Amino acid sequence: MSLRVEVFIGPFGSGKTEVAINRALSLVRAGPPITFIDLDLVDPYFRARDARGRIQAAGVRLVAPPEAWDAVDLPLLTPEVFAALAGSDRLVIDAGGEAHGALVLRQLVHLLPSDAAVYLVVNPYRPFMRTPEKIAAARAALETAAGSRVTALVANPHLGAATTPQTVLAGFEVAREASERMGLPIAWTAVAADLLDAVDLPGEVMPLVFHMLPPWELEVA
Amino acid sequence: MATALTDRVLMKGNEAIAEAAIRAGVQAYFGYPITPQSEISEYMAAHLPEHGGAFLQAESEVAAINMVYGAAGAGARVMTSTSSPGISLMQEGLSYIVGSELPCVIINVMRGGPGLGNIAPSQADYFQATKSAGHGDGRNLVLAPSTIQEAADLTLLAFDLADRYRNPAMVLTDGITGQMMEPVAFREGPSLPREVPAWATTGAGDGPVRLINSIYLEPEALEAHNQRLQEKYRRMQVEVRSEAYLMDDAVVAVAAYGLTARIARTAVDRARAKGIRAGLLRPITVYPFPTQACADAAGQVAGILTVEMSAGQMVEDVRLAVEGRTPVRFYGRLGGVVPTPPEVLAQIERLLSEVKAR
Repeated sequence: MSLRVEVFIGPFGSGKTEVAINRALSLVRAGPPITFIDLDLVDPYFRARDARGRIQAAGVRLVAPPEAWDAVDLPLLTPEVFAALAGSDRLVIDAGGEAHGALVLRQLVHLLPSDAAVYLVVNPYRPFMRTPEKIAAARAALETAAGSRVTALVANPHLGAATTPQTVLAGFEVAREASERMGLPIAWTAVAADLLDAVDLPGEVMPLVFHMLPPWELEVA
Repeated sequence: MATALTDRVLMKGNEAIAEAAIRAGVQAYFGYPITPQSEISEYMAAHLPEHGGAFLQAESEVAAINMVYGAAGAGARVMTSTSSPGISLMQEGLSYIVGSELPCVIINVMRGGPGLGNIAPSQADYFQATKSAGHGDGRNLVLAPSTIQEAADLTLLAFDLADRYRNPAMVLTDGITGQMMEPVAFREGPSLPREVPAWATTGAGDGPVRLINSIYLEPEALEAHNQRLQEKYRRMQVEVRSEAYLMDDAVVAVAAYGLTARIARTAVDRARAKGIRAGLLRPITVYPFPTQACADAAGQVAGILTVEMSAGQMVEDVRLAVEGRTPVRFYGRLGGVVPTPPEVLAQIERLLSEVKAR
């Protein structure tokens, strides 16, 4: 795939930010320039800009509100977002959670290229994403808010630190069934890098390295 | 398709608290949004009506706590949630609830203060939560979860304790615990049968008039009321809960609750890896405070390090419990800065070298 713009949307806690950061870091390894747009206007903690240092150190340009505003409880949409959309970098866009987090896309839709990928990130271990029916309902609400059609799913089946290979496989089955019912492909199944060898999944796998860690799990150099 | 998802789900702390309250049979929720706990209100708005409960967004925290007061008086299982500045606004109503001996659950997802402060995580409301319930001589039961699973479990317990003692029970947590996600499984609750209490103001019918208030104009009558309350607070002491982690052979202890207990646990593990026999003493209830567990530790270790996201609040309870029998040192970060495991480890090593030099 050589799509210029990839947008990640999903319910709260689906893992959009981890998936989007990992996607950006894998793209930059294949060749810069890559710009990551942190479009999360709704979450107070655990946003891509909280991993600003790691993203930038990897060679990805980050578009987010200025660092001085990180702790401000305001929905900030900066002009750099529009400049990036008008530019030529490959873009990875991480929207905030739920329909109200995806709503910001509606005012940007006319600036997206027609072949922009819109990925719905799905974790069937979230309480309201446990069945294909619920995943379909979440998709409908998010599409309405975003004013955009989802083009593919990203399966992200995990239970945090309690994730086992069996967790991944059982969760993937729910995502696969949702994919079949909605006629949407699964672009990737995201799997923690240390579990990759233990699971055998069809399709593309995205190895995940985690960046949205609680403070006591962040290694201090 | 046989998809064997486990019963466990991945939830934010705020969501898990809300779901636990619904499973505890909460009948009414009153609140006003404030970061970093607004997901509790959002979850209640979306899901409590599905279970037959009432959600109402009040016009302020002052109104919300007085709605809690009214609904509790009418015998409903009732709760509110807010973050630090909102708890300050609720102090008057809380005092009336305590004075009127009504059960309710209050969630405080602490953020940085004083004043408007910021939206970052904090533990600086410990004094306010544990030393009083508004003005007067009242007390809250105060539960301090350290994981998302415990946030769910203690929310359920809070409803039972509130009913058992006809007293507010507070779940005291912080912004990170509210916002972070972990796997959680829900047990069924409540453990107490929940019927409309005989004292509830549901209409006296042919019986005696039922009146709920906190006014006792005669000093002797108010003193007697206060003495009854104090007797109740003494009875509450049996509800004390704490966890001892690697304390059996510890020569140095870290005392910490909630989020900082998790950081301290990592620091204790790293100390052990370096050959330092460190342990963790974690209060699960902060009122009643595990005074005896602290006193027991004082007879065993060469020193106790208390770690908080405050300027030093729980450390006063640790010192009262220890009564000077072992050195008590404090390490805290303020304003929403979260201490790191290496910082805590350095403080453990500093305490040990200080003790050895004596």
